[in-house]
Amino acid sequence: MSPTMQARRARVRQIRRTVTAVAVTVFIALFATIYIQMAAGKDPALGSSTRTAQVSATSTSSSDDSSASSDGSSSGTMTTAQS
Amino acid sequence: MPAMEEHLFWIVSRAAGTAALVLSSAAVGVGLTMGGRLVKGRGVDLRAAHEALSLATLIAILVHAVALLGDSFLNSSLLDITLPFASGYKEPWMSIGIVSGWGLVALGVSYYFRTRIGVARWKRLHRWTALAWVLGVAHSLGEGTDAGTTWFLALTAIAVLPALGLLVVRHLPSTSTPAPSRT
Repeated sequence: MSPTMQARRARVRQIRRTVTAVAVTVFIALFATIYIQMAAGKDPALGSSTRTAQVSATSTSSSDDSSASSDGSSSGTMTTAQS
Repeated sequence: MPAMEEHLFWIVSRAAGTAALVLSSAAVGVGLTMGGRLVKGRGVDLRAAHEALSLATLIAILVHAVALLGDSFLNSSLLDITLPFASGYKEPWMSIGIVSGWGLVALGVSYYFRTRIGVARWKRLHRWTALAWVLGVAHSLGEGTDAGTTWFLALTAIAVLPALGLLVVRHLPSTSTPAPSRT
């Protein structure tokens, strides 16, 4: 194989390694952001833990409440927790 | 503080979905740069980056979908995450995401069969990737749990707008006037 081809292959390998590293880093950063956001009680779906508890209690006490499935969710618990 | 271990699959799915959005936007941007010959003399580098970003996108989409199977709240079946309108959850955004995912997988994997498909035909087919990507962006903004957060919107703008700009420029009718022919 010519040195030019070898250099080209090495460059392609380097690009693949860089993209893999960037992709893994992006995923870990996003996972950490969402995890911390949720742990801090600032998750856009769950909100604060007190709100989740209130919603769960309301859903339990009035299971026939039509608002619990207003978004078309397939699960009642899912609707209150992740809508 | 919510019980975090209950939500691990959901967090993985959300992170992988957002990663897919970022990676697919980068792949589309590099692809359009390559196709429009906007950078001279870097064809090999751009092609390698485009391929690696596309494969990373497909892996992220796979993780995004499969992680939902483990989420105890959504309780999805394999059909719910692979078949449009099967789950009924947050429609039409869910189905738009499924169509987009399948589109990106099919059009991405078709690269490895381009000689069998025919290079010219494959190139025409490959242009539809941009539509699948746009559907993916719509899915993430319409259904994404984090779509209302500042960090998500900022990240989406940074990732999507350059590729969207390149896509618009690519499809604009050429304004350059042809050089007059010598008589």
